[in-house]
Amino acid sequence: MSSFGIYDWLAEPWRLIFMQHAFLAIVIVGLVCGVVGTFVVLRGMAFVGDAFAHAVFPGIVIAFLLGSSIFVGALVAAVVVSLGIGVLSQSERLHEDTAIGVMFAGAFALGIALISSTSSYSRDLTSFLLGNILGVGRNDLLLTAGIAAVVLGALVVFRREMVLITFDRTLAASLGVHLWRYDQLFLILLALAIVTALQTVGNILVLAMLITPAATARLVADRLPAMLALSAGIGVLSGISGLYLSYYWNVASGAAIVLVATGVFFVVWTVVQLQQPYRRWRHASAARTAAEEQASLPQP
Amino acid sequence: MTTQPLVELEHISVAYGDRIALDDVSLSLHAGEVIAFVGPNGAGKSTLLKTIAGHVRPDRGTVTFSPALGPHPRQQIIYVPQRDRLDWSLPASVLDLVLMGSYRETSRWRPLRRESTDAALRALDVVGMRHHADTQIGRLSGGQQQRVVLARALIRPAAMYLLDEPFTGVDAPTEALFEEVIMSLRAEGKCVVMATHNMDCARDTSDRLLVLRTGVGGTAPPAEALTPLTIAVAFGDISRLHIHGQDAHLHE
Repeated sequence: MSSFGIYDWLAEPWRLIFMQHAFLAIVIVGLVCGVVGTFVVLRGMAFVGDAFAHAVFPGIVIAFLLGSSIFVGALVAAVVVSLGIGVLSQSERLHEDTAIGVMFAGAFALGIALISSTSSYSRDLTSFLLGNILGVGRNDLLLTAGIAAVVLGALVVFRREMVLITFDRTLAASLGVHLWRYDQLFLILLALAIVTALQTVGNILVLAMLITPAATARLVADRLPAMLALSAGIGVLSGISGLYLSYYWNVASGAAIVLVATGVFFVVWTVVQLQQPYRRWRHASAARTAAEEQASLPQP
Repeated sequence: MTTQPLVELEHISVAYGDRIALDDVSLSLHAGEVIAFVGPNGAGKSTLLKTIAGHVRPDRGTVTFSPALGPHPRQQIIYVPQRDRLDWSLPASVLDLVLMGSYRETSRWRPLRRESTDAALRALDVVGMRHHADTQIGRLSGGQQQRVVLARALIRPAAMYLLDEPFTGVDAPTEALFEEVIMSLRAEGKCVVMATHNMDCARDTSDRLLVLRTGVGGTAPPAEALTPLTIAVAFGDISRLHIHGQDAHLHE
């Protein structure tokens, strides 16, 4: 392929207005989910992320049936489910993950039951479950951008609390950080991030946008800012590459995006695994240096 | 001690489900003193520290703070956890981790100021870890991790420091350094309270010892390792001893 050919290949989808919207939407989604997903992965909340993605489903369906905003519907559902999990896990015999399992499966079933009552059942269900990135309109795009700005803005403003809660909850509590309040705030931001991704990758694959780029970044990043940047970058690049794949090879866009992100994860994972022997050797020599340093400290 | 105590614990009892961790413990903590809680595993040493810190709510009894600690007394009390309470694989440098201790001194609206970084570096200096400021926390040895946890506590001025097993898994130089830090905190008029298994360090650094026993409250037999005889052997001078429970007369 000549250089002109590559340019042409890359530029062609951009001539279509719906593809422009799709590209912009996936850039925003990749960015937001990459950043929020970093905290999800560091806090070991992958299951909570999955549960939330499914649990907001009835809220979206109800909002859709009532003809109101699916974003509001999802938010209300997220708050209800988060409170429900909190109440159920008060029982000494139930672990929190059990309570989450009960809530999200039930909520998901409720969503499917509700949508099955509509005449356009299968089309609507497919679009919610698998996303419909080519149907992103100008208003959807503006709303997604607005929500993204709110989520990222909140994370910037509350960065100290979010970082403290992620790294050391005991320290956070002793420094006067209200754990429950910031946990709820984080769950709301998580719900918002999920909602931004619903139309682009769909309900089933939202989790991949939250977890996979962040998990990839976790394998290589040694600092939080680096992990955030890398996770967002991988999310955005997987989104753009997936859209090209979907355009030229006629694959479902959500699946293509997630497959690219998963592919990147496995490539990075393999490289990291292959480097292990070298890393172990470097660790050992660093430990030897540290031991020598300790030994050279003045003895009491 | 004649000065008003910074913190006064009266008849504190704590239970986790059916297991009684603390049964009717009373204690006063004063400025400028070092107190060690000793006793076998499960005797409630950590629980007592966490009760003072406010992480554990007592089922019975009261914790009273001196007005000298200001309107938010618990913020004058720093709890220093065992290093294994932290996930050392998280993506942070030593400096990042220490800076987390300065949460209250940093602003939500402004980027991190030079003073905060300087304070963190000074705290690292005290524990001899300044040259590791940029090291990834996962690359530290156990002793170095414990030093960093201590530095994170020292970054912030407070009236009372609660150290949970500070000597566990540290080497001799680190142990000596911690004793030095504890002594200098005491000299500055701070109250240092520690829970420890290390009888030598407890004896060397503390002004008072509180011996806690395993068991369901005061009626349980003393653990074998803490009979009056072994305590006397372990700690030498039993006049400084304070035995919680039935054997309180030993103090006399």
